[in-house]
Amino acid sequence: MKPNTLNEKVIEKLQEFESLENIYPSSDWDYELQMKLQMHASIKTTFISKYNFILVCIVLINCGLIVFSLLNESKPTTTRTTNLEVISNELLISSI
Amino acid sequence: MGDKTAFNQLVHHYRSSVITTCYRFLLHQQDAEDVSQDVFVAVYQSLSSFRGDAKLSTWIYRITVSKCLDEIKKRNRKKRISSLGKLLHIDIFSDWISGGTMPDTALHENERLREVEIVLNTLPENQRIAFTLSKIDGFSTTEIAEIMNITTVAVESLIYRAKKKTTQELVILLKNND
Repeated sequence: MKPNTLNEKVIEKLQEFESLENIYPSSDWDYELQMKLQMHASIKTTFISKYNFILVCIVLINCGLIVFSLLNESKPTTTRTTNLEVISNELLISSI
Repeated sequence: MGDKTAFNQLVHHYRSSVITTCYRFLLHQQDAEDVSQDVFVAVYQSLSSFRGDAKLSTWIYRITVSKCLDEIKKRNRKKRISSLGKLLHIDIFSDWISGGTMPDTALHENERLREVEIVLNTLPENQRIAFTLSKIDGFSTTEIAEIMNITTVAVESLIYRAKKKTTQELVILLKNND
């Protein structure tokens, strides 16, 4: 291609880009936008409800653990040997 | 209710200019319509967080440019995956990974702008934004500067460099095609 022809073609291409006509939205554009808005709103709601559900589950599990640990809190048990040791100490009885 | 009416008015006011802006970036009508809808969804979602630091129009066009650039990145990623698939002879998998559309056929609806699109893809992001916006009626250098959050001098410089690079790349491309 000759340099002149090449330059002309470059200018032509650039002008085609510059003179691009404005486009107008198709007839479905508004409807599709409403659909997308509704879809995003429902996704958001689902996300929030899932988040709330997980939060409630965590709280319930924690409450369960607390109740479980309170119920099973072991009372200090003393064995017979310990009791005898205490008595012997109080009565100043040496084991030797 | 009032919010919805206000939003509908906003959509009605900016719809055409947002679609036109998207079309200038994407050079594909259907994609431009899809992305423009995404722009308004994003606007709707973050309208409450709009602080009024910039003009509403500037804020909307910032979102528009950002969405268009995301779409272009997505396209380029699809192109790369598709090329890789062709190279490795696994077209079916690469089609599936890239979302099913073959970029070569889907992207260049406007065949006469194919070369321009290829050349625009070689421009750095900020040059592409400044150059593309400068070609849309109604965008002054000041407005482009506001959208890009840079000075007007910087915008002029970006446009100048973009023009220069576009011309150079077009010459190379057309020479190779010949």
